[in-house]
Amino acid sequence: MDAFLSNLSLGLATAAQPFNLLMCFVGALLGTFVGVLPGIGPLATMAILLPITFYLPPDSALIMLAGIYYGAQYGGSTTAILARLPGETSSIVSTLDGYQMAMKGRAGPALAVAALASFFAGTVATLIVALFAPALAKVALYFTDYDYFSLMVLGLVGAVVMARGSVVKAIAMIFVGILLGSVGTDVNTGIGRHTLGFPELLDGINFVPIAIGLFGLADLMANLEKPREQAKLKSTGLRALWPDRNDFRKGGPAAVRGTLVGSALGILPGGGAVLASFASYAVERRISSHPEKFGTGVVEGLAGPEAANNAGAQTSFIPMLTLGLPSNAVMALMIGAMMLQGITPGPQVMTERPALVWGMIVSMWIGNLMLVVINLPLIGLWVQLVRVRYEYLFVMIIVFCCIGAFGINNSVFDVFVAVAFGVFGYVLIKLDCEPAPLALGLILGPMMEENLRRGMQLSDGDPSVFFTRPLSLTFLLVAAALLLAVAAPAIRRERKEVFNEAD
Amino acid sequence: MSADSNKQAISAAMPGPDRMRRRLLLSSLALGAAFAFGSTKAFAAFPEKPVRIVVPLAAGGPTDVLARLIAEAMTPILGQQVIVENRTGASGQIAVDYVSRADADGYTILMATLGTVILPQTNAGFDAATLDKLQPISKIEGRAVYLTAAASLPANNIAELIAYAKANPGKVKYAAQGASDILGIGQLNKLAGTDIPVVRYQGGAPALQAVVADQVQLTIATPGAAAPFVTSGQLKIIAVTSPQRLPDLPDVPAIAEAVPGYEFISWTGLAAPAGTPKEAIDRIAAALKEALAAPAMIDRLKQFGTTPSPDGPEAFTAFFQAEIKRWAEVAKAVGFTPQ
Repeated sequence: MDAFLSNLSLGLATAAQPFNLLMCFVGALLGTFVGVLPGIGPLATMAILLPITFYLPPDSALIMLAGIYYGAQYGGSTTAILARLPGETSSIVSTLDGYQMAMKGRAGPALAVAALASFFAGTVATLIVALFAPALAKVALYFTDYDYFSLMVLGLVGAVVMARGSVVKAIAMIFVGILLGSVGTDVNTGIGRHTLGFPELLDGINFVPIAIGLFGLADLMANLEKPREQAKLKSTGLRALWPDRNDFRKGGPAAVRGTLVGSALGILPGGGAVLASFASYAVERRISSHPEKFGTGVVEGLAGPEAANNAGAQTSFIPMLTLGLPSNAVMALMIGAMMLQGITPGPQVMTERPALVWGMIVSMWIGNLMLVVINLPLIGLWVQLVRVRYEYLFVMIIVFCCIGAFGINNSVFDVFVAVAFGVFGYVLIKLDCEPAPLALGLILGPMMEENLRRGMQLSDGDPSVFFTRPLSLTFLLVAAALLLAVAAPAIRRERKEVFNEAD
Repeated sequence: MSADSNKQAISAAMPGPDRMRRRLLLSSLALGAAFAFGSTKAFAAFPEKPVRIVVPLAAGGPTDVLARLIAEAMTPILGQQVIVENRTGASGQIAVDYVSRADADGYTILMATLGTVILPQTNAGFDAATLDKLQPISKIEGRAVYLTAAASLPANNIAELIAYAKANPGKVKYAAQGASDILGIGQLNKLAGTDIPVVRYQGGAPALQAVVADQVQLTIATPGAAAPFVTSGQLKIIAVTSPQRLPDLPDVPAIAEAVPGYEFISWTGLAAPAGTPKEAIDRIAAALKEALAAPAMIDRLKQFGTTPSPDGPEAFTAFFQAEIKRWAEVAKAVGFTPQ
């Protein structure tokens, strides 16, 4: 404990230097903006700013870059809630209940809940990083391809639980997602699959244009069909900006659970942090006394996943800080930034540069605090935006979507992809199929395939390892139990009722 | 003399308070000068607008970071912004296709890598003639990498590794980062008579992690990436891929000592669309050379485990062509067919 306190005070001494505070603020603010804009992700922003960081001391540079990353997690939720536009993978879940809250005239409380849940999760996750980082680092190394595959299976089964309405449709959507995810270069042979002759498709369909199309553009088309509802939204638009007591009572515990789920998954390299918000949503829905209301603007369905995604973003720093191994592309860039500063990332950084590591950890908490301060006053402004007449707003959203899709690779091809998926998403709305399980299948499918095939290579073609490795077996058993529960006749009846009720 | 410097010279020769009237005179003079000299002297003034370096790999990776370092350093030398643009996809084919079709004016250049010259081997849909539509400008750097192994592997150097792999087929697997190192290990298998199977990973970091976690036995790693795990005892360096031993590691054998003829050098360089005026090519090559000569730059590159080796258009063109030929032969020899 003493070591912990002295580490924290060392970190505070670094992070609280005026210049570092300024860099933390700049990073968090920039992150918020790039989070709001789809297509310009934190990765691209950090890469653009990388040369500028040469002129900064190492601690300030890393503090600013980290700020962009977690700032973007905050900002990404804003468009997901207001316009059903997930700027990033992690904010898809916020389009479910968060957007519904906004549709019901509770955009203010939804944004506030998202910001507060994220702040809470950021605080707890910072403590977890500070307390357990060295011990937790080993967990990441213990995970093998078999364990990842089984974890992904569990994640996909969780998507079934997540969906509203028909189980069959949810499963179908997952498979459509996996099918779309199989577009691109085959991992083992390098052969292009389903590319229709487009070299742009050799790397698979980029996630952002699909999300923009399926969630944003499709919803826009559906909205334009019924202009009256939009008028209704306006009249009830500004009932309250701040969450009420009920929001706190229900959202609070959800945020706690989301933080735990997100912290655990964030440590895993690769798929972990992506799963965080989805997993939290599934958990909330599973334990809720009113699962049928999920997807209609339930505060737990927003607070939990928002907390989970921020906690996951925070704990994904653990393998990078302690082992020098990046768990995702953003962390790889942080490692690049360290190397440019003459610091060799790896297990020794923690002991050789304690001020740097702990300064960064403490700055994450300060940054989270700043984000709340930045974001809460902005809520009023964002809500004003929703009051803009829809005839103007939808044009703005379309422009925004096109710039976002174009911005990923500077390629018009991605704009066409977004439009195509917009039309596809509209058809799905008409068929009462939800896009969220599709998105999860799309994200997890390729990872699942990669781990499955690599696992089979490593075991020399023996599939039994998936059932003999304790971790892998555990995940598979939980997945099987979940599937059984969903398929159980009683629950099916309940679902049917829900479905009828929704009609 | 360019239009701009004409204007300045005249401006300096005409001091005085009555500027408004003279400005009119000046601009017409400048305009005339531009007409007179503009067409013939256009490239003396290169660059007149920002220069873009198109990087075929994702933002944030080592190649991207290197490109951004160079762009930053070349900006004051060229007197124009040098911008890095990532056009990722299809193992770099998207970027190579794009630059080969770009205007040959020197304002769009490619960050070429080893991956560029092996595109004909890795991408079935790639037209090999596309590489002829590039004009190599200069190499940036080239580096040997380490063949590293998990600490638990009984073999400690390249000779022992080959003996162990032959005696225990299937016990040693190789974690591959991408097409280029698959060709590299394929060449080793071919020359040494081993049969080390390849397990594919998506990039260097996950491949290295698999070896650190003792799930796969072998991979290649850059010196910077391998160093901390060698210190911590989780990895050992089996050999270096350069033809000779490295001065920094006199005790580590080169693969070529046990496998004569083996060489694997990872490199980067700049290339422009074919037909780019020589003045522009030379100007960029000179700016790159100057940027890479700065002590701070040499230090930074050392962090990446590499040293700058700018060689100029003629030498790099010869090297570029030789690499295309060499890897085509390797691919043919190891049976790596375009996919």
